[in-house]
Amino acid sequence: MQEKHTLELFDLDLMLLREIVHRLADQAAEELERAVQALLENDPALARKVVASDLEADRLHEMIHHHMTIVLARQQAMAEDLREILAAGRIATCLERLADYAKNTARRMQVLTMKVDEDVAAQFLWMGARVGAMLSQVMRAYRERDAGEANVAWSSDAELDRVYGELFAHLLERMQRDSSSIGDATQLLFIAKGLERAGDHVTNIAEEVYLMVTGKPLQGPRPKVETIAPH
Amino acid sequence: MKDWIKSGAPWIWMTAGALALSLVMVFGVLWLTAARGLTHFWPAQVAETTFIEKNGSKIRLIGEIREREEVAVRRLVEAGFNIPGDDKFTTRYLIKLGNRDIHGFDFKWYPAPLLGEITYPGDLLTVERREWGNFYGHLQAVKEDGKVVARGAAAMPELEKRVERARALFDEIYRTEKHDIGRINHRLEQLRLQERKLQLQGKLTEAEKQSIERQREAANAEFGQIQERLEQLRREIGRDSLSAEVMDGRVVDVPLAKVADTYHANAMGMAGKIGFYARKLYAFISEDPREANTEGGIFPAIFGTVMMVILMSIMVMPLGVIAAVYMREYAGKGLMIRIIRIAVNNLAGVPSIVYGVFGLGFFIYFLGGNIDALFFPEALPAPTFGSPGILWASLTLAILTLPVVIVATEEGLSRVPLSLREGSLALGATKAETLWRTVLPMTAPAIMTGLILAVARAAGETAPLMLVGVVKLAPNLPLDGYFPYFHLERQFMHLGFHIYDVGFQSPNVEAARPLVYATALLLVIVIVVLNLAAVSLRNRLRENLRGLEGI
Amino acid sequence: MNPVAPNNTPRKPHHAIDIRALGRAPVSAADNAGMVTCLETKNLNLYYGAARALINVNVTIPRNRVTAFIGPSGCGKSTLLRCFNRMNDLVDICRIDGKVLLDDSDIYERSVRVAELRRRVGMVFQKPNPFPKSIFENVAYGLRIMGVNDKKILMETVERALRSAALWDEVKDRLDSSGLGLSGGQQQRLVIARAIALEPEVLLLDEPCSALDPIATARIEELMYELKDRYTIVIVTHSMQQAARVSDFTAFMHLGEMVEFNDTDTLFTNPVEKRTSDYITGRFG
Repeated sequence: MQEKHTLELFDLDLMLLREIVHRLADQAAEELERAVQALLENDPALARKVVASDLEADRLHEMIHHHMTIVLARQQAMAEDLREILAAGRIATCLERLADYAKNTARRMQVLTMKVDEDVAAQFLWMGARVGAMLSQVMRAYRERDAGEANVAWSSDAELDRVYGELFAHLLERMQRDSSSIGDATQLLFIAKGLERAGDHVTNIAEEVYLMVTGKPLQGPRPKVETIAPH
Repeated sequence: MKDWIKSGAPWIWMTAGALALSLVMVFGVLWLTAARGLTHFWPAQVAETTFIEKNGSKIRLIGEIREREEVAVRRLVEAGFNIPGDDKFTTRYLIKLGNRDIHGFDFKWYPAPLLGEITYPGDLLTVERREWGNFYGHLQAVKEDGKVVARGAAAMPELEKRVERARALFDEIYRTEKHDIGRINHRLEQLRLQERKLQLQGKLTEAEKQSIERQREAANAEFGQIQERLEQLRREIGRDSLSAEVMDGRVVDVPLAKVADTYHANAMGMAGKIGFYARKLYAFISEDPREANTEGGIFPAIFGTVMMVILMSIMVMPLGVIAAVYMREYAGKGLMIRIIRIAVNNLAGVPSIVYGVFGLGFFIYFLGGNIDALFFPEALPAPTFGSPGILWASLTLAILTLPVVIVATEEGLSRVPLSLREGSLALGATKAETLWRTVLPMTAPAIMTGLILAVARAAGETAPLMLVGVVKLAPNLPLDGYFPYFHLERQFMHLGFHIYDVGFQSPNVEAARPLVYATALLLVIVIVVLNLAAVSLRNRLRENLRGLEGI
Repeated sequence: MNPVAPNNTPRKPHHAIDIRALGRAPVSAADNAGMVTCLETKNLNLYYGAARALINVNVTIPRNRVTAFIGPSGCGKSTLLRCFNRMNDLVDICRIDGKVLLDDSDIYERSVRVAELRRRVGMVFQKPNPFPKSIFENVAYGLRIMGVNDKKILMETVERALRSAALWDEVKDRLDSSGLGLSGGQQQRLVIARAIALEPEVLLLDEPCSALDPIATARIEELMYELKDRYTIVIVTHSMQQAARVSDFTAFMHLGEMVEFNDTDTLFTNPVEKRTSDYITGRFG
């Protein structure tokens, strides 16, 4: 629990900033979830909705930066307040990128010629759910200013990399086997790559939260799984 | 050495030295006056000895040894004394012999070598008299109507009893003369003035005349009764007398009516002496003076001084404060106001006697004369306000001290921060409200400072007062029981003038000298008390301002 | 702590927390549509003798907002502030032309009673200036000037004013002790209480925190924020950070001119005038 500022306005400003960041996180999480859903259920209408709703993510991202500027100009923030404001800006950027990957997933899904196979679908579903879970964990860490939880989220990215590696190998093998599937498989590869990148952004957020709370960067080797898939 | 000078240490030493010197001087003066003045009331031992006169005859001396000093033998020989031995210097004593009426002199110097053995016989009687100063002698007898009633050892107790009685009678006579006769005189004077007033207004009818005449007869009748009673009291007080042997062997009768106090100074114990001392000291500050101010107390002078200072304060405060407020707050900053300010400052430097002359010419002759002509025509040609009096004296001193109060008040006003005035104005107060509610209360300590300086100056002032109201002996205090109680036109006594009078104008300077010191000490104490009162008031006022800078 | 959960403050927050309303600068500009003009100057010029201290100043000060005047020393910001309650009248050589309107009527009209005007437009000065009287009498001063002497009314008003100035809890047990015994920040709040005891429409604050430490300053700033619901507040400050913290609108003045008047967010993040930008970024002169 943080002490209140003598100037209550400052508390309200920070609260507002946090609120918009959470809003953006929710938006990104929703887009991701629905994009994966559209992909698995082969639902182009839903995909179009996801693409359209990404405008909201852009608007929230814009708003965070605007508000951040004003808070910086108005309140001569120091120490944890300063870190919080700066973190909000960087987290917002990561979230916005995350939402972009969701949007890309929805776009690519619309050009697929056939429904995704059962076995591949399970892995996509897992990846999407995984990214969503990581995001919600890291946002909980942000809300609760919990450096430990941020650390956990940060280190759980390894599994995502592993699944991405498997998916990559699987799709590669399919393309070699059946040249007519190259178009779809390439799209799927990009989608998988996007989900993997989204996971990376979540770990970036975790780093930002850790820095915001403790004032020290999160260091040490992140658990990595060596895969043949390029990053 | 050069470093030492550079270090500033000499400067500190110099300033500290100047302060020490000032302190030494102040305390020296106080110590001198206290030592000389306060010892006066201690019961003096009465010595008895012998002395070989210039013609070789041996006489007996009785008296108080007052002073001793070294003197060249040659001078004494030149003066005709026959000094044995070949010392160059010897001692001589100043002896107060008393009995001025018998010997014709009071104090006399005697060379020590010609004196016999000095003894202090216990039965030597000191008699303080209301006339002719002290009397010393061996008590022989107490007489009633010329007949001896007690003699020898029985004489002293009898004497004490009868002195007590005579003193009570004396007090009664004094009271009767002062109050009862004073009252009748006052009534007769009122009747005369009433008659004169009616006469001047042309309204004196026969009936009025008769009524006044009747009242006058009644007053005269009462006066006759009182006179009779006084006669009787005087007869009674004249009944007793004491007879004592003085130094040349004669036996002298002293009527107890003239005796203020009798005691055996040599036989007194320490406790007796202290009691005696306290009694005398109290008498000094509470009684009226006697014998051309050289004996008795100085109460009227203390009273007059304090009263004059208070009157002066009452007059100078509003005047000075209002003038300062105008100059600082309302008048512009032009050339005229600068000239006036310089003039006011310079007024403080005008010699005080000039103020006395001004007071006499303007207040007494002009103002007082006109007041008399307008309001008290019935008393003319005897002046009422047209003669020196406490009102004019106070007013003169008020003018004298006005610059001090103005300057101090202006100083105080200028130190009230602008921010506070603005604060008050910003709350919707007008300039006058701001002055009254904020600025003046904050100036109060500065005004008190001005008043303290004014009081210090006024209480010590003597020269101008001699022209405008102070007298050697005032018959009445300016405050009494007759309407209008405050008699501002009356003359009064003053400690400063009293010192001058007793010290330099008295017939018996030697006898009065301790009184001069005692009076001077008292004047200092009165001024200190007046100042302390003002200072404590100022400190109380300052208490409210604690926390403000520069006040 | 859950930062999003609304805390238990009963006050209306400065900005709406509801995100749907957040399509704009979050701090102040939103409510500007419903703004009412409180004070207004029209071509105001002020001369000290021959020197012109204010040059054609036109400014509109909205009701129930905090408006800050900033600018380098001698720019005329305090002078302008003192025009609003005619404090400049005290300076002999000061002359004014143009208009100053309070609720659309010119306060420099001949018929205006200055004392009454100053009750409507309270002022707090740079240095805390409590009178050397008790805390109670300090707050009751203005009422007593108005002739109010009823003990009950005075007591109620004093308590209300002290509560409004967030000073009541600190001084309620020593109302009879001297106002000079308070700390600097308390003294300044006492002076604010003294002004609001008269229920003015406008509060003019002339560098109210320049003599205070940062904590006392923060308290006063918080107080301004609380008071603006009821009063129109105009503050002169030489700390532009303070102006940024507390104000809804900011005016930048330079050499007697009103260079820029804008809502605070815009003025400090994206000023229109180059001079403003140079001043707030520290590139002046």
